[in-house]
Amino acid sequence: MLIAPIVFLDPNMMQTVLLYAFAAAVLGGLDSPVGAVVGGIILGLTITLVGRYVPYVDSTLKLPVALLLIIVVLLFRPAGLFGRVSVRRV
Amino acid sequence: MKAKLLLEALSFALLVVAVVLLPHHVSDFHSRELATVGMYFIALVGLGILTGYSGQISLGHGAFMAIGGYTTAILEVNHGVRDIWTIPIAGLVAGAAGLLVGIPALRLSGPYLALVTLGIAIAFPQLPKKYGHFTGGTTGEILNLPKAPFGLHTTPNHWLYYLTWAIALMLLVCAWVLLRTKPGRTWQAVRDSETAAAASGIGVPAYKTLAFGISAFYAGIAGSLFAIATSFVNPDTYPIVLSIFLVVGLAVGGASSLAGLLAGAAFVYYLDNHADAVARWADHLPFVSVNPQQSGIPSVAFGAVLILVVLLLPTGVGGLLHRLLRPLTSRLYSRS
Amino acid sequence: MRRRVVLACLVIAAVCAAAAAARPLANPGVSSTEIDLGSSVPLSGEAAAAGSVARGADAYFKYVNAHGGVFGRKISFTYLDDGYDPGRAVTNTIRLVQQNQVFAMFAPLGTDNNLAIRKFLNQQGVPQLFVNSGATTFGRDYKQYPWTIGYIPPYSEEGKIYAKYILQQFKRPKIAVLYQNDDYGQDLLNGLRKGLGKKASAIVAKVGYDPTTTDVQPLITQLKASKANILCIFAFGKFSLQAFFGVSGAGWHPQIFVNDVSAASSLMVIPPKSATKGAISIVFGKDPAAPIWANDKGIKLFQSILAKYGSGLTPGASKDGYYTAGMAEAFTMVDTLRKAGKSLTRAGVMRAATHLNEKNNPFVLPGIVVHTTPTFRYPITQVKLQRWTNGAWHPFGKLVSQPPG
Repeated sequence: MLIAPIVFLDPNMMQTVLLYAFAAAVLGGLDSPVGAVVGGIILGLTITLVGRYVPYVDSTLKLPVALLLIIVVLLFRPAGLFGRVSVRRV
Repeated sequence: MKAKLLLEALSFALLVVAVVLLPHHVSDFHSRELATVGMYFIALVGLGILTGYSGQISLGHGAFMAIGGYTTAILEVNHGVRDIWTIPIAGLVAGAAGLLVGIPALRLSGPYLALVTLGIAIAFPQLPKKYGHFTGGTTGEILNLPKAPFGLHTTPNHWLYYLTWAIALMLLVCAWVLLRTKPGRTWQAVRDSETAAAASGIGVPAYKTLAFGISAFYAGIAGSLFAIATSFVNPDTYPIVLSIFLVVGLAVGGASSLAGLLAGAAFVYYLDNHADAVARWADHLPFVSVNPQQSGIPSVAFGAVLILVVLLLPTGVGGLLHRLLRPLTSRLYSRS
Repeated sequence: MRRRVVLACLVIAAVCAAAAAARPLANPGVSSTEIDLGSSVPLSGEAAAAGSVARGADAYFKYVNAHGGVFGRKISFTYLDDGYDPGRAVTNTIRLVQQNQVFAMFAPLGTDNNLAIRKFLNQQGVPQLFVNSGATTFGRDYKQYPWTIGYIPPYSEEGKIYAKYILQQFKRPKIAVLYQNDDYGQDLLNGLRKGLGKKASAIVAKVGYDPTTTDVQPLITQLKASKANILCIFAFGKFSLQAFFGVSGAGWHPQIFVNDVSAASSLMVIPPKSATKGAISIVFGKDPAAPIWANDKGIKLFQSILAKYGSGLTPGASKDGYYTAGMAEAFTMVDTLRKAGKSLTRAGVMRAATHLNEKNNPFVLPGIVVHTTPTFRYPITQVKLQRWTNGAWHPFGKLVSQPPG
């Protein structure tokens, strides 16, 4: 809702935001509210800085970068930065 | 056991007959519509192998269709390859991508896998834009119009129809063979209990990745046919909702029966393209007031139907048919 | 199992065996009582505002039908939504041509959309009339695509006109350009460059954006850094709005030139006044929101037609320039149909469309002649410059034109 004035209210406006939000949540840890905030900040900064200063990545590749981040985090630290690591009994 | 085989052979034969005869009884344009249903059918068979049999969910199969479609476009526009020859290549490229996706997918399951594949569906359309110099970027590529080869005298629509359904039937047979032999049983074992399967000595990662690759191959072929039919690709030809539609089609149809997959494919196509007819029909329901001119009807309808199907028909239309026909067929199976 | 494989191979053989040639109707879309026209426009999505051209045209056709139609035939106009997506435009067009059997496609909207359907329509011999796009290719490439003709002033001309005006008015122009990175935006940019000629170095900064970007405001900040005193907004719909917001947000006050397709009054009132004040654009039609036409006969006719025959109207339709543009096109369409004569054929209508000399279109600026020849397929090339002040557009100066080719 808060982002509507920037991307313009439209039924499809949330799709890209959704991916960024999920990336931030995964980065911070899905069960940690602190993680969500920290994840969001880190993600936002990373994407904008990478998008601006790394010549190969321009604005079109911002979404794939977010996706890549999700995959990498889920592969190596599925619980995220602040999440609780759980062990599954077989 | 033999009776079941006979029944399946019979239904397949019926399908073949229907496929061959239909275009003579419907209009030229309807042949094109049925061709598009066939394309969705191919994609759903692939997705059925992945989700229905190996138990991995994918909300990103639209991306594999896009890979197939773009492969066809690039080969045709930049390298002058004839459209039909691009189809198997498109399938293989998409299949390779599927294998690549399958590897990290091994570490994920359930909602995580669903969300990551959704992420692929959302992020993928950006790639053709970045590499615009050979994908045509946002403007896309305009392909040649479909035309029957060897000077055959058919209309483009009939040609599309027969091409699509010939491929669909071939791929259906291949899927059937796969599922009735070792890979199929292995996937079912993996789906039912991964730990037990691993304990029995099954190479679980290999089979799970293979399932991704095969389903991506199917989706790639469907995507390639899409591109040939519309003579146009751009990132919007394979949007995020396509991936969702595929999953909904699978859920509605039910992954485990031929009739179900056909129903699912028809459902996806007609709801997407005849949204106005659906809206007008819905308008007649009590308490519902829908303006047929309104956009966004397909998405709303898909959502509503998905909820209804999950609540009332968890095994989909195919499952419903099975249940309905059980009194008849159970007599056939009573010996086995 | 082998049986199934053999069966599958038989099916492939069936491909070769099954042949059913469906022959198209000799003259589809025309009967003694009806002429069927089709179009594909954005009725949803970010370009939905522009879809109103179809609604305006539809109202005008209904008005003509109520007054006897064309040689006794009523015009039946079917327009489908494509959400500004060329892929959907293709499926809509195929459906309209093959299922609805329309006589011609009338005023489909969108440069990329029209490019995507052009091949198919030309191959099928279906007229693609009065395309709603200023891309120069629609008027220029008629040898390859003889069934296609444009309508609105070509973008390359628009760019040239701005260039000439800038050279007249500015001693030391420093131009920054925000343009949509597709044929539409690049056409405008190239026109600007051509018009500047030797002074093309006046363009000190340019930034192209992808139509699926979410936000172009950061790009405006980038352009401001170039210290330009002129900004050209060659952007569509919401991007043009974002650009204005960006300008006001950045505290920048360049002379703004905004592409006429994005300059509808309904859009111009949205950004802050400080940003839009003094913006310049071109115009060929009468903007119903411009005070200068408040008592104009053509605009009064427009509003009465909308009131009586309009359907599915969006709020503020009677002051929406897109509706007037649609009606202008519909007027030319009816004119063309009349010229094509009682025995209406597709070839005949193309002949009429390439021999236009229409002087009495009530919805375009007075003095504009809708003029075409078989080798000059730009129906409208005369425009006026207009300036946005006090919340409305005010045309100024004489009619100018810089026709391409």
